[in-house]
Amino acid sequence: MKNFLKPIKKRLGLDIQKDKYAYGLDEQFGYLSKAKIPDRWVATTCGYCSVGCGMLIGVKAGKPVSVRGHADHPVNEGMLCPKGLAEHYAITAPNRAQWPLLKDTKGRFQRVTWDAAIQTLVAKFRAIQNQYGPEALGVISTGQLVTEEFYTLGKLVQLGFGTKNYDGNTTLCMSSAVAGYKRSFGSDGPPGNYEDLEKADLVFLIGANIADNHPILCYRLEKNLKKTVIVADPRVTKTAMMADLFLPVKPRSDIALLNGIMHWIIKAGKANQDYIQKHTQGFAELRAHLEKYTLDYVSGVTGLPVQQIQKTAQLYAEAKAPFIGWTMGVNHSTQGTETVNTICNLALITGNIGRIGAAPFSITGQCNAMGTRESGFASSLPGYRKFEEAGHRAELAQLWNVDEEIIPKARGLAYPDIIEAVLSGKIKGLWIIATNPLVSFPNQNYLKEVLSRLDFLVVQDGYHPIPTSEIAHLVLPAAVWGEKEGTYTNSERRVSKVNKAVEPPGQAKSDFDIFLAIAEALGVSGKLFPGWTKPEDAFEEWKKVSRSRLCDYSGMTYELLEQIGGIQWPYSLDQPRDAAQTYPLYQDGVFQTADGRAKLWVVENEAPPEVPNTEYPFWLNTGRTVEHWHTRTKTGQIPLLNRLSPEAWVEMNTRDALKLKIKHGDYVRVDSRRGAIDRIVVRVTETVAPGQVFIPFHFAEANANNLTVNSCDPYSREPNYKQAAVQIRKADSKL
Amino acid sequence: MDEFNLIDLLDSSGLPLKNRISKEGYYNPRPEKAIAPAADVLIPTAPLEQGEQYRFHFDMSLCIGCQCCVVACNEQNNNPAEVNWRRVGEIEGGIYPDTKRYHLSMACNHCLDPSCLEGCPTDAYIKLENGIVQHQADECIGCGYCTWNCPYGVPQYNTERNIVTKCDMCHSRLKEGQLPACVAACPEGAIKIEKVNVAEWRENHAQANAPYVPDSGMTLSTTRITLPENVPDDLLRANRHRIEPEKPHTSLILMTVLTQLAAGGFMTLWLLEFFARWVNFLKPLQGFLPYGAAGMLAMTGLALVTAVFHLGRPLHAYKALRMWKRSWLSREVLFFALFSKAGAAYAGLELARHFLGWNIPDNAMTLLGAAVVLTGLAGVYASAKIYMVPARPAWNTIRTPLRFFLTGFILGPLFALVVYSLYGVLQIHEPLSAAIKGPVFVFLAVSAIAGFFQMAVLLSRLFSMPWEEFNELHASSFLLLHRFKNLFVLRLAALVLGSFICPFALFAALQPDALQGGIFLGLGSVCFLFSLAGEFLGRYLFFVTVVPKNMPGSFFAAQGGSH
Repeated sequence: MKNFLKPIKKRLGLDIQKDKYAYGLDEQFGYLSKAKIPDRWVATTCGYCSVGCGMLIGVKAGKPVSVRGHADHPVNEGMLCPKGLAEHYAITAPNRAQWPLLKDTKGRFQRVTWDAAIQTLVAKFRAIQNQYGPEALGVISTGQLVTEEFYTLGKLVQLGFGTKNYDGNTTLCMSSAVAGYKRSFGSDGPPGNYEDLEKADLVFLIGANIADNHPILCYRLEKNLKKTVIVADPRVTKTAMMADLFLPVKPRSDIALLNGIMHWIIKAGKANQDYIQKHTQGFAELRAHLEKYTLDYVSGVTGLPVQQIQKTAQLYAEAKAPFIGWTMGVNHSTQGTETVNTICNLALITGNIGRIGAAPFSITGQCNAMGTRESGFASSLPGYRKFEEAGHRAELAQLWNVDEEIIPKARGLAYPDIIEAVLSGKIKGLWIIATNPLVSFPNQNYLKEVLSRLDFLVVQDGYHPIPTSEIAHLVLPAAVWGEKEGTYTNSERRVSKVNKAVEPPGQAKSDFDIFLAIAEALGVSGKLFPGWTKPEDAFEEWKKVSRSRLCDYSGMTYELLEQIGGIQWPYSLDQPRDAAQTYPLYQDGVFQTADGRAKLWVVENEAPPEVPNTEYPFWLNTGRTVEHWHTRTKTGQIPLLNRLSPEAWVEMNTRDALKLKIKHGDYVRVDSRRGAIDRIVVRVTETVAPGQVFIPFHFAEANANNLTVNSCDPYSREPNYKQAAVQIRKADSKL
Repeated sequence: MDEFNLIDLLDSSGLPLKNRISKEGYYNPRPEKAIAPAADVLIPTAPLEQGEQYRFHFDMSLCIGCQCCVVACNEQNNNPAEVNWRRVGEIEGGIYPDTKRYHLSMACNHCLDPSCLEGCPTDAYIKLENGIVQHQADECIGCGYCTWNCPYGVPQYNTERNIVTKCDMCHSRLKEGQLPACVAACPEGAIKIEKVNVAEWRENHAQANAPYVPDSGMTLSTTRITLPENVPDDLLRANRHRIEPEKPHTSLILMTVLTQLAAGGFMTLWLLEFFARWVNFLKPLQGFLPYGAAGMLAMTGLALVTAVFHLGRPLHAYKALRMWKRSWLSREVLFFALFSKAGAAYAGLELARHFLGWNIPDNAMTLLGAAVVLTGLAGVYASAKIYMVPARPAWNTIRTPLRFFLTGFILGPLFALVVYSLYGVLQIHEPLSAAIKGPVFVFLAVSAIAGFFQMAVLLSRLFSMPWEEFNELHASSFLLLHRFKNLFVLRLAALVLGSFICPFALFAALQPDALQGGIFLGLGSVCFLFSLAGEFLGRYLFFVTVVPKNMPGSFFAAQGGSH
């Protein structure tokens, strides 16, 4: 009867939902909607990007009802971006995966028990490995798990399953930074800190749109009152508009720009000869190579006026503590690694590294991409150890009490190469964890064809259905952020605690528990994970493994992390320091190379794998928008964020639109040599140059990655997302 | 870092703040009082002085369009995704690479002359002593009139609550020294609360203006906007393509058209009755008048019942009478309430006179009729005034009352004709005598003349629009001539058919002596139905093609209001 009356009462205006819209006083945050005042606040770290903001999840009657920035956290001091401010909805999203699902013979998902799911996974993968060899199993993970899970997964895959074909979606994101750091400094590890943004007198951002992608870094930057901001980007991003000097470079000309800057600095006698002498090698070759990068030459390649290049060089050379930050504009390139090397060259020849403010700093993508770089077992051995070094392998074998021979001597296939190996039939079984390649991988038509050839595909994710889980044979439902414990490392090497606020829905389990259960079924848990029951067990072992490495965690404890709100590594048991102190790497100028010197690399600016021609006349650039995260498995389910940014769009210059008779708000079709977007709305704008278009990559429905090129950087294997050639014409019909 | 240290210093429990996490990872709250001092730079700390009020300050040169304020506001107030008390608009100008895209984060402007408050029929709005324009949910009946009045699209209808809601500057937080949610969430410090001297601002409020923001003179918006230097002069709104139709308001289409029909009809009957005393060819009407009056009364009743269901809270409709001194909506309700009562009395007495043989002097009826007509016309005028609001330029013209009255003069006589033909068929045996022709001619003539003027008014709208000053008018005629082109043609066709072609056919059919009652009734009804359809269509177009003033939106935001 009550239910029957409800709509009538509502229609008559007798019920204006007063309770739902009442306000109350929260002890911590003051007056706010009563419905959002929790029983308790649980401190944690944001699960979206690598800025690593401290947060509080408000839990009421076992449900997450609100999130707030953590005022005491050293990264964000209480501020959050719009995704963070709505993050509790990602936990309660309607598309959460809740039950293990196995496809039956008719291709329909059927619920199975966890036992059955794990037995099936182990049996299928083992059968594939028995038939085709151990390397016939591939594993693609993510930057979304906690470090404890990455550490556990790495051991499980490499030592338990015995395949080295294991990589993460981090290869689509920051592997060029990793490879670049390794080549220049001998090791991965971003040397700078966010504090640099506040203390640097020059902030030079290359291919980094922090206003859309890392808004809380803008908050940090805003505190810097003496800064000069230079932004290099082919697109006039929100960040470019914040710049004092904006360098509208042509696509893929950043290497030329950097070489030109170095050319001018050296010619002007402003290189730091002392630093070069003491801490680098290869300067003579570099100087000779830079001869041809005169300002005129560079102006031709970059499209920038000579004065702008000179001004940039001068500002950088004369700054006391210049900071260089970059993100995907640099990394998403077939020359990504080399671009990173060029950036490091510039910092090195001017001695702008190892001091507060002065750093070549890679701003990372995912919340814990850093964690998998450090503890993972994919592109290197845990603790930034090298596959190739026998000493490193022996050290680990001893720490783990395993036979040295089972530790691989070389890296396995990287993500794009795993996909290619599936195509060539070398890999038959694939386990995808917390990533959604059917939106995020370049050249989707190629990927779809490849994935259909798999004998067995397992997708382990917090969300289902998502494009990738739909084609899986087995779906394992995972707990997400807010439902599990562990640590994340942010871009500035700060390790922060992640806590469990609520129980996962249905039968979903934390990835950690899933890994342990698989290890058990595989019969390796006693050997690899003796007595492990909780993430802290993994953390304790990881601390020992990282001890005396560059990414040294050995002095940290969960308790200390909670107290400080995040501690930067290295934080060693052996060299105590103030845990709250900011710590730039390479303060002593000693690098992780054999001779302790950083390496200067000779890099030539090359053309990208595809350039526009008459048939495909536009440069396609891809990127993000502030409202969405990656493939929208989370933010696509959050009504407010979706309302603010409901669909993909293509930005096109006014002059091009005029030529093609396309109006602001028209729908067009975009084609590349590889695929198409059938319908996408046009935003006519002067933020892109004539001849260039931009499409955000979040939207499965109008997927920019139908168009992108799957050519990869030779060192990092990172795909070239930022440049492709496309054609545009009016969409056939208006829906 | 300053704010942060300040909190550190002021922690009353004396604990280093970093030690506030318990072993379980739960955060131990610090006393809420500690929040206030941190806010020094973002909200005023000294109390308001005489003649001052609070206002927002928005710095457009700082805003990066991150939408934090929008999300924080919805979280603060538990609003559904569709209701955004704070919105971020985008405007862009310049030529690559000297491109500027500005973001405009706006909530309520807490105006000195708030039009939401002035139009509200129930006094749901109050302007607090501190200047905050506050909406009281309990008093709101969900008529949505404030959403038409505000030129900034600030009050928004919440379909979950059936009432309107709006920003109150986080009033309860502010008075405790806590930051409003949007202020606290802005990573750039672009939103602040300031004090403003009301008298000075009334003199000079130019700083409330920004590109594409409706002129501050309309309501004396108090939000101070700091514009960046060197703003390009070729700025365009990001949502310039999103000219979307407004809601049709079916109940209001019915209500306005039918009240106008009834007012026009009563007036026709009253005039005819008056003149029938002396004019011979109108004599056949006299027996018909009670039926006619009853018909008009039925239409009035239908209109008023429908009107109530326009409200989010129909049972609270009576509250709409409250503000008759100020609100045209209250006045409309008042006039139509009186109209229906007077109409009921008039029709009742006519019927009593006819069937019960009550002896009521003609002059008394004429006087009562005059009361009906006057309240009816006053009601129609009040109706029109409701729509004549500066925030909706397409409505804010003399054409609105003209159209409303003309609707009444088109439909009133034709409805009377239908009732008359029905009366003729039922009461007069066939063949109908030629004597009925006189009144029919009058009905048709009045309606046709009104129809002619209606056509003139409609076409004048078309011809005048492109040269008028407001953008919204261009947008409105764009909608009419593009999106609703077919309906507009239909509307004109219905007007021509109902006012000219069918009446001519009917009048032609009346010529021979052997007039069939069925043809009379049928053609009369066709005239009426065409005209009714025309006026309904016209009113539908009236509602959907009004393009309200609003703040500039983001690329995906429609230009229109939310109600």
